[in-house]
Amino acid sequence: VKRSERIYRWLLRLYPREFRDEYGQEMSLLFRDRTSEGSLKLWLQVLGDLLFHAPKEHWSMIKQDLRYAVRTLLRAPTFAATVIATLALGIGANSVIFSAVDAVLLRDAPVADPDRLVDVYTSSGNNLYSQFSYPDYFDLRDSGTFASVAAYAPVSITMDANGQPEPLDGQIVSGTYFDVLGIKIPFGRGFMPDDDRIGAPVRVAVISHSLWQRVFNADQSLIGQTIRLNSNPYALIGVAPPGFVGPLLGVTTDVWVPTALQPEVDPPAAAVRRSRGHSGKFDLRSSRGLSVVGRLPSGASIDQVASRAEVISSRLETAYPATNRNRRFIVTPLGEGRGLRVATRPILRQLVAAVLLVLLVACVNVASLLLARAVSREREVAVRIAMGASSARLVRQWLTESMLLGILGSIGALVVIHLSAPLLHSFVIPEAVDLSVNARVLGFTLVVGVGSGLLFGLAPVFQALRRDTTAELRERGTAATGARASWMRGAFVILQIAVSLVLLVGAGLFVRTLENAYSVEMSYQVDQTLVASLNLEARGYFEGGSRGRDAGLAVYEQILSRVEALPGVVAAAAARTTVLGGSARSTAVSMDGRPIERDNSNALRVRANVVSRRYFETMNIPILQGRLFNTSDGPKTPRVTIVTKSLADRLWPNQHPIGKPLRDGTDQLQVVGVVPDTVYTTTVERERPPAYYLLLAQNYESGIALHVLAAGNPMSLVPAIREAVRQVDSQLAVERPQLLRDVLDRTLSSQRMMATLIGLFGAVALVLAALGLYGVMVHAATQRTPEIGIRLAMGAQPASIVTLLLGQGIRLLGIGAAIGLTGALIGTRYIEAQLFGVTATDPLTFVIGCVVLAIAGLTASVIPAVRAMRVDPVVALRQT
Amino acid sequence: MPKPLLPERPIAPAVFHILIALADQPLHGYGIMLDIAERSDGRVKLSPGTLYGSIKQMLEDGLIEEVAGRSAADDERRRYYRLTRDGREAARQEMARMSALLNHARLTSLRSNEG
Repeated sequence: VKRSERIYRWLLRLYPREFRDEYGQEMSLLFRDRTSEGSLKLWLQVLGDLLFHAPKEHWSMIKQDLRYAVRTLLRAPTFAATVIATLALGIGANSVIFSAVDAVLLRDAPVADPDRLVDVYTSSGNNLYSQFSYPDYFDLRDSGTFASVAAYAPVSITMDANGQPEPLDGQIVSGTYFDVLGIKIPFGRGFMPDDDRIGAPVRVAVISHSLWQRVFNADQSLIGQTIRLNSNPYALIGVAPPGFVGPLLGVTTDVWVPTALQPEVDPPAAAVRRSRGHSGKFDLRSSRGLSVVGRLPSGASIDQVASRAEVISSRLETAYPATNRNRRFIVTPLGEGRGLRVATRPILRQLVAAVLLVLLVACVNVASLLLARAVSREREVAVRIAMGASSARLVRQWLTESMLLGILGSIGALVVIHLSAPLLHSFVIPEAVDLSVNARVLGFTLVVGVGSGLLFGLAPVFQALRRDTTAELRERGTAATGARASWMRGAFVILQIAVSLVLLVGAGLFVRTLENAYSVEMSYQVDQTLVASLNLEARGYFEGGSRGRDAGLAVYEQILSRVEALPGVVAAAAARTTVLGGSARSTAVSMDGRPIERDNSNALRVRANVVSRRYFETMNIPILQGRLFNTSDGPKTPRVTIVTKSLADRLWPNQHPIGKPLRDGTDQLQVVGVVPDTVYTTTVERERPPAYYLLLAQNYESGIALHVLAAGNPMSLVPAIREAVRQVDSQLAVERPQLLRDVLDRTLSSQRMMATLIGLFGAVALVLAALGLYGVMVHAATQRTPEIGIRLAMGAQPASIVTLLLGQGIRLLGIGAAIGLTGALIGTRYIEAQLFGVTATDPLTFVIGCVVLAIAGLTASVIPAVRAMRVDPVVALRQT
Repeated sequence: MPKPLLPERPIAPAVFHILIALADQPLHGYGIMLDIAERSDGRVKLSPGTLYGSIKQMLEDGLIEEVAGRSAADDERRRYYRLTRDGREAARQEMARMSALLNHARLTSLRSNEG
């Protein structure tokens, strides 16, 4: 009997302590009275009773605490608003970055069972994540390594939308594509193996849900009808599910077509076509442009499949040493080889660290405010304790209040997220990545809010638990607790100053990186040059295409001469690769004039671009030696090239390069001119390999970028340029016209993002730290008012009062700055890889960070000090 | 502050039982439970959680109050409760509400099935 009563008493702990204190004893007495009624029935009833009523009592207490907390906050609206705004900033910064982390790193690709999908690459030497050629893909597919495997590659496709050419982002995909990804086609059907027979292509297409809505008004009757892609009739067989754009994150796709259509949709480069006489890549092992995704066979681990794939690749190496030497098939989980996820992970990691620091500063600020308030609420607390409130009850009340503040801060944070999604989209997160608030971001925001509430709520609790109730009721607060709170707030301010300095220095380094990235010497007129893509492939202007190569060359000539004739145009040109876009065409030239050896022993890696005659005038690149391309260079005259100075110096040191023969993979060219080395892929590239330029008229390309140098605003020329192109070929689209400046901006988006966001976070932390310091100084000044009064009454100079108080602020600043500098020295090592033109320990940046901090800190200290100096000694003395 | 009791809003059955039990004499928790069990031929037996949860709420609402133990022989740890004026009024209103409801019910065909 005694034991069962003990167990019952122990179980009563499930009730809130207050309820237990009040009724626990009686409840156990009642239990004792009832032990005569058979024990099993009694226990069943008692347990059911506990499980129902204990949570109910807890909830009723939480409700009571919440009511009390709301009343308390409503009584101090300024305090509540300050705290909520501070938290909204701190939590909001975290939620914004978390929404990016969620969208890029956590969210699964929109495919079935993504854990069983892998990306397959062909790795060779330093190039770990190369793509596949068609023959390599066929061999992998037929090896049975995967349950199923699919290939896909991006293509530009022009659709005829009511007579207007509409450029689309397309994917050329194997017949297995939708099945491998496990995508159910909601309207119509996906591809089947019959749609993708090499040598017997059928023109069928699946379009994205968004294109279907945007252009076809979601009309279901269009499925099975004909649409015109690249001027050819295609059967529209299906519409992909909403939101599906493929297994790659951040890539937009409007239309999918089968790989069997490769010769007309995705022909190889001009030189390859010329040497082969046809445009099929199906037996071309050296042309690697296919991405491959495979589904693991059931029961097989990724490691088992990887080693099987490796075996296949070594077999291919033996069979095809010319193309597959040292080439290995490697397998990675979906999205983990290369792509947006891998590219943004280090940036996001640094941003997460930065926002955690911002949150820390915000929490410390709120803790400091709560502490200040705790001191002023001491009497209220003492009264409640005297009236019998247990300290546990008080702690609970305090924490409820701070958690409520945290939740309100979270709600404010949602506003911050909503406002900053466009900011993220304008930097490294592509528009195609959805950043809207989902359940996970919402949950994260609330958890961070409640967690922060608990964290900063503990400060006043620690403080409140060490008190002497009777002493406090007697006096108006003891000196001891006040001193302890001041000490704690001082420590908090030091922490805030240190963290702000770390963020300021980081921001400074990123700002200087950005500054350096934009101040690299370029000859280009980035604000005066417009670039736009022309896709002649889509209109059949290529060797083996419906209109052919010569017609394509004529189209270029006519477009360029029409555009150059437009008023406001200084020069116009075409180029295969747009500079500053982050990518380059890389190839090899012979170092000794002999054909390039199989083992590449006499090869030099260089960059190549195919450009039209007036490219160098358009891009403002001066000629150093020899001549520019001119009208006498044509398809039938000897093939010529212009090389950069570094290439000339490398191949023919101390010799006159003009007239020298240059041999690349396929041809012998004659050097006619030398130009300076210019910025090529991006301003922040660390190495600039030598480059050479080929003439478009001698090296036909069916996809180029139109370059236009304008006298005024180039964007205002766009309608006239479109009209000029339309007059030459009414179905040729002018795609994505933009300034060269925009191209550069996009390439530098991660640098811009880090400078902006870390700068923003640094500013927020600095303001919060300054406010924290200001609060401490005001508090110190108030506490010392009587002392100041005495000093002034005794004849002290007002200036000496300022010095007295300022000394405390400077001490806090100094200690904080010392800790912050140490932290920054350690922390900036982790961002070194992202910096350009500035070292991680750049002294100037560190000094500027300290100066900014000092200005903010001194301002925050001087104001209360000066106010204290103006105190009226009579009033001050009366306070004692 | 006592809640205004709207005649249309029924009082929780457990609360009403406790009000009835305390109508004629102050009782302690166990006494209340025994009284209710006795009146209902043992069919209604309040669990400790319901009993003390209701008592706590009724104290807060001012329907009952604590009194000093009735006799020295009683265990001092037992607390006794009695109805307040508000509690008595609340019980009366509940009674009126229920009998009005019963009167309505008797005017329907339900009555023919009675007893």
